[in-house]
This record gives sequence, structure tokens and C-alpha cells, in this order.
Amino acid sequence: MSVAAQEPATDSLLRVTDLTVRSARVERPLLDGVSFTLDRGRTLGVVGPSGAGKSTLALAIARLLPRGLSVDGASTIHLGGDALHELDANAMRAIRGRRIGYVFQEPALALDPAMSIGRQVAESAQVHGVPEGEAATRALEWLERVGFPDARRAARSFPHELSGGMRQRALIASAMILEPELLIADEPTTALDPTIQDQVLDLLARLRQESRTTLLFISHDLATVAERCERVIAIERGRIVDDRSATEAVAAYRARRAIPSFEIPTPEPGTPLLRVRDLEVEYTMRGLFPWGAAATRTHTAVAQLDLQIARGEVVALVGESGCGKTSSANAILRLVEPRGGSVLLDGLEMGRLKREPLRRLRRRIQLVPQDAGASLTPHLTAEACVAEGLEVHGLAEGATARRKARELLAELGLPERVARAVPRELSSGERQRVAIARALAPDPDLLICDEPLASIDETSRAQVLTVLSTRRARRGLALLLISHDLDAVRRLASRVLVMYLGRVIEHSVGDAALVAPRMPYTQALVAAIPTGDPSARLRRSLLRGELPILSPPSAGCSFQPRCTHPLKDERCSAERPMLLPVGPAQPTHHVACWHALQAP
Amino acid sequence: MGRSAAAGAPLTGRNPRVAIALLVLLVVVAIAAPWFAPSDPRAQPDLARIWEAPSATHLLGTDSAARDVLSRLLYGSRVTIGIATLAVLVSLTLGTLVGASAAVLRGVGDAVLMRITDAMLAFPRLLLVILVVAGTGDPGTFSLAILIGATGWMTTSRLVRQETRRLLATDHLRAARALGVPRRRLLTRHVLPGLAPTLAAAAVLSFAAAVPLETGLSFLGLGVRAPFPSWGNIIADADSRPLAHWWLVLFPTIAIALTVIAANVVAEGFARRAREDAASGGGA
Repeated sequence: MSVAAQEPATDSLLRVTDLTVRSARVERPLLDGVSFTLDRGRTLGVVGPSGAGKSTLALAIARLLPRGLSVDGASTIHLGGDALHELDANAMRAIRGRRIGYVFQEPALALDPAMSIGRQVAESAQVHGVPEGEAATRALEWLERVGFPDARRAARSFPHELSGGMRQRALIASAMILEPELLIADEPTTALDPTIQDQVLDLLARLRQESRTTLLFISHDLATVAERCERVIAIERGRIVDDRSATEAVAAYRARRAIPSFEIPTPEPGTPLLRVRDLEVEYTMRGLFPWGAAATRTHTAVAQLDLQIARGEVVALVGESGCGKTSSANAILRLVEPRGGSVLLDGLEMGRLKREPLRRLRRRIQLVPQDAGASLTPHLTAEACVAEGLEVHGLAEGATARRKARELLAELGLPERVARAVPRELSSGERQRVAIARALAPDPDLLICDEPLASIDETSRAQVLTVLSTRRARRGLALLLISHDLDAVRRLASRVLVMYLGRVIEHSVGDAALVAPRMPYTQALVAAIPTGDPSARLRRSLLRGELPILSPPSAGCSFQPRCTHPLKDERCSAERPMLLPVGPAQPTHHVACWHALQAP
Repeated sequence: MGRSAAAGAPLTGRNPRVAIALLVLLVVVAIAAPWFAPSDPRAQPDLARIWEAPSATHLLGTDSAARDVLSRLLYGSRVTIGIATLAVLVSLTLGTLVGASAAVLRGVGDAVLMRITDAMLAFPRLLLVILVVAGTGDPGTFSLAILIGATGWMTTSRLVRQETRRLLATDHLRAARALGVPRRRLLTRHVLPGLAPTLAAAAVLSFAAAVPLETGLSFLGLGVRAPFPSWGNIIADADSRPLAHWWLVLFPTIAIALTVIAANVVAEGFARRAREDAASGGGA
């Protein structure tokens, strides 16, 4: 350690030099000589593919590294004038929370399910010596500042009563309550919808300015980072590979982000591969007591879903989470029993099938579930998991099945070690690709992908898309793509359905619904796609509020309560609009909005 | 912090090394008893030397028939642990069958199986065993083990039912179903391995219950009968004068207590592991 390191420059808040982190289990260091400075009041973005070491960097700065990871002796971390690497655990505890705030990726896991939000936020102040009463008052104040409409009510509620976006707001409140000098946000919005993500990032930006906090923002999504930060460093395999201003980084990113061209198929005439008619899914919620008004409530997750997919076609289903996309997929696969409607695969009604014929039919219609990590059986290796699809459908046995599984994993760009690893030894991007390999193994005709690209970085994304594209071209694989990544959808889908509260509200052949959306809701969704351009962000028509999932269904348009359309009128709340062609010139673009039909 | 500290604790964590070592040692002693024991546990070398206190010739003294207590204790561990182990196998099999079936069947089948379990639990186990033994006369070691197992599967079945229900609702099971995995394979390959920590906890827990039950029965003269040694009937040899014949009470009691405590600690470690697996969403 050099003597000069004791005296950091006056305006630099965080100075990391030669940070090296090793794991007892892996030979290659997780972080390898990372050095950078962050000036007071500035924003620094850290990007990189999953497993690059971004979170390790954040955890090392806050000295929160899990057991088994150790920082090399030569590494130094300075916050203001203090050498964090020299502090003992107690001194560090006094700094975390007071001078360094931390917002984690998954708010559901970072909050204590058994403690009210108010107490959790107040606790972050109490542990630093703020008296209980004052902490509670400050917590209320902060809950209001992060955008809870009724702070007192929010303080009394528990994490499970809040949506993902609201949980993240609560977590931000508890990180900011002592107005730390440095705020580390590790993928703060990755688990959220784009519309909500935008709201939360706006909030972070506002608070940062108000409290003059310095921000270290970690994300795998360069577009989001570039919009929100002044400088961006890119990390790959534990080393800084790029460090420049956000504008330059975006220009470079634009040049790189060329999703391999995925020839958009034209639907063939004839019997569609999948035909869904009037599908309806309903959930019944039972109250604690079997009497009274709250004894049972039903929630319609999907209503009147009509859908057709031809062989080799790519159909996209988009919308915010909670809109019924996943329920639709589960009902089509008969993983949940639909309340009504029919699902025909090649003209065969799936609802009439008995257990064994239905099981055999599943070979032809496969699923890549939303939470791919949790969908892998914890004790099975990736290889066994992928081979299983071949074995249970009698396509291959034993060693042959495992060899085919390894080939498929390699095709998806996974290194050899993955085949013999169990899920907890894999990164989330790797798990997702294992789940894709598992679904592709039995050579299905239709693949239902529920957010297939969510946690995959750019490079692997291209690989996955190439594999899917090849399958489509060679074997006529059809895709039902469920996603809120509208950018990817626009490039891939030959037909787009936009769902809101269980109903399709806009539908087009081709990407018309996303290129020229007519429904105010779709317009807001499209506007929320991060582009990497800070000026474009200001033009966005933001979608306020969140999905009112549990409110009673209205007779009119389901989007009407959140709608900002200038022509919104009584008809919107009284009468439900039907899906109708936008105009005679666009017979294949349908929209369910009374005012979108009028000629603009 | 609390959790990770507990995970590393040798006595109370998820890996209670001391307790596991003790149980392993016990099994080794039981298996190797013939090599360790100074004499045949039934041998009566000198009938004049009954109820002798511990000495150099008989390290742990002699009993009412002048037999060497150390040898009887060592051989007794074979009987006691053998019976308890066999009983665990019986109760684990029954309990897993009942519990897993209840979870898979749901509805009426679940209700019937679980009410049978409740009824069995409501009946005092010791009384049940005594009634059967009294009704049939001398049961013999093998039947005794079966009887102890057949009256001790209820806790296991409840644990297994609960855990199976949890596993059946996990994402990975749904994904396996969507893949088209047949029901039987679903259970054997995806559910059963996930049950391992729960089954391990249940096994050690029923072991901890079987040991005092067998020794108690043998003490009462209803279990293993002299001249065959069991930790229970060694104590009985104190002939209702426990203070005068303290060595006949003290040493078997220490053996029983250590075994039961170690088994409970190990069971708690396994149960902790099962809970943590469940909390992390997994199953193995």
C-alpha cells in the first residue's frame, strides 16, 4: 500500500485501487485488479454480462462479501478520507447504512416478510443511534418521498402486500433514510416491468439530486445505465474492459447491438398449429374464515383469449406483469385447468385428453418457464435435466440421451462444465439457457417462452436467438413469445398481442401494434423501452400507477382508470370496447379502444 | 449472522459433527462388540461373585448372575441399536408410504390417511406396545423391533406429507410436468430425492424414540429377556436396590442418555437443513 493512497484527491468520494477478490473454489479471481474513482455527486454506471463480477464489486465496497470470498491484501478502498479496507467489522457497520446506502436487486428477498415496512425503514436509522420515535417519523417522511400515496398506511403494511415496484421504493427509502454519501444500487430494477422500472429510476434520480448523493449504479442493461449515468465502466471476467462517458458508451453499444436478423416468417394458410378459442382462467382465493363476504373471491386472470399460431410462426404476447400472460401459457399447456374455452393442437382438443395421451402430447408443446432457475430440479445436473425430455418421450436412452443433451447445451453456447453442474452452481443466465435446452430437447412443434431472454446478456442472447431461428427454419418450430422486452419482440414476432388485465387490447399481424401503437396503454409500454438516449427519456409519456389487479372488474374499458387519452369520456367507463380493425387501411391491426378507431 | 454462526456450530448447527461422531462410534462399538468385550455376556465364570462393584477384573462390576457388566453393556448395544435401527426402517417405510400417498392423493384419501395417523398418535404408544406384548407372550427380538416400528411411523408420515406437498407445488415440479415426465418418475426422480433431508431427520428422530422404548420394555421384563443383554434389562438387574447396585444403573443410563441426546441433536441438524433448503426454494 503506497503512502499516497492515504490522501485521496479532495473531490473524489470513492477510490478503489487494485481490487482483487478471490474465491476459495475457483482459481480465476472474481475481480482482478479493478481500479476506479468516483467523484462526489457524480453517477457511475457499472455494466457487464452476468457473472462478470459486478455484484462482487458492489459487495466488496460495502464489505458484504459472502463467506469463501476474500479480498487480496494489496487492494484499497477509500471512501472520502477513510480507508475502508483497514476498518474492522464494527467500524464498517457504522459506515454501512450511514455513509453507504445499498439497494439490492430483489426487493422481495431484501425485506423481512414478518416486519412492517415502517419498522424496517425506521430500523435502518435506529441501528445508527437515531431514537425510536424520531426514526419512525423520518421513516414516514421517507415513505412519502419515495412515492407512497399514503405513507401511514404503507408503514403499517407488510412486504407481501406490496407490488414489486412498491417494495423497491420501500427498500430505497430504507437505504436513503440517513442520506448516505454513496448509494450503491445493484440491478435495482431488473426484476421490475419496464414501466415500473422507469418510475423507480426516475425516483432514484430525483432523490439523488435532492440529497446530493453519489450513485454507483450496477446493471446488465447498458441502455438503462447510459440513460441514468454520466460515466460507464464495463466489467468482463473480473476486469474493467471499458471506461468512458455515457454518450460514447451508447454509441459503441448501438454499433454492437445488432440482434442477428431473424427472418420474420409469414403465416401459412391452412390449419394453424395451435388454435386457442375463448380461453378463460380464473383463480379462487379463499379467505381465512369460510364465511362472510371475503370467504371466496374470484379473480379472472385471462378472459376471452383468442390466438392462432401457424407452423414456424412467432407470436408475441406482451404486457406488464400481472396482465395474464403467464396464466395464458399455463392454461394452454394445461398446467392450470382453464375455466372455459378450447385449446386445439393440430385440430386435437387438448382438454378432452386423458392423462397419458396428454403427457405424450406435451412432447410437441414445450415451455421455457418464467423463473428458469427455480424450474430446474435442484439435485439434477444440467445434463440429466435436458436428457430427461428425451428419455420420458422415448427418443433416446441413457448415454445417448446424455450425449445429445451435452450437444444441445453446447449449441446454446454453454461451456462444458455446465453439463455436470447442478442449478445452484450456475449463473442465472446459464440456468435460463439450460431451461431452453430442456424445452428444445424433445424437438417440440411449439415452444412457449415465458420471458426467455430476461437474465441473459447480449452475447448469449444472440446465441439463443440463433438456435431458435435455426430450429424454426429447419423444422418449423413455432414460438409463443411472452415478454416485456418489446425491443426483442419487435424484431422477432410475426404477430403481436398486447394484454391488459387478462384481455387482449391490441393485436396486429406484423409489428404494427408496436411500431404505431393505437391504444394509449401500448403507447406507454413502447415509450418505456430504454433506448440509451437520455434526451429520448424526457419525451416519454409515462404510465402512472400500477396494475390494479385485485380491483373489481369495471363494465367499461379495463385500462380506463389509468388512461391519459385526451378524448377519454363516459363511454370508456360504461361500455367495454371490442377488438376492431383500426381502419379499412389496416385490416390486420386490431385495437380495443373507442377512440383509437377514429381517424387521427 | 445468527444463521451462519449456527451453521458452523459443532453441536447445534446443520452439521453437528460431535453428535454424528458419537452415533457413528456407537454403531462401531455395537458391530465390534465381540472383539472388545472381555468375556461372553452370558458367561457366569464364578457364581459366588454376584453384584460385585467395579474392580480390575470386572471394570464395570458384575450383575445378579455374576456376569460381566462391561461385556453385557457392549453386547447390549448390539441388541438395543439393532432393534432401534430395524424399528426405524419399519417406521420410515410406513411413514413415507402413508405421508407421500396422502400428499399425492389429496382430498378424501388424504383425509382418511391423516385421520388414521391422528388416531394412532392419540393412543399412548407404550400402552399399545405393552398390550400387544402381554397378549402374545415373549415376542422375540425381531418381532419386538417390528412392533416398535409399527407404532412409531406417525411423526414421519406427517413430516413426509408436509414436505411432499411443498415439493409438489414447486416450480421445478411444474416444469417437469410440462416436460411430460410420467407420474411415477416424477415421484421417484424429482420428489423423493428432495425428501432426503426430511427423511434423514425423521429417521434419527424415530431412532431417538425407539431406544428408550426398547430399553424401557426390557427393563420391565417385556422386551429382551435375560440371559440376552439389553441396556434396559441390565438396569433391571439392580434388583430394586439402585443405590446399592449403582453400577448396574449408572453405566447403562449414561449409554442411553448419550445415545438419545446425540440422536436428537443430529435430527435437529437435519431438520434445520431441510428448512433451509425449503427457504431457498430448493429441495436437495
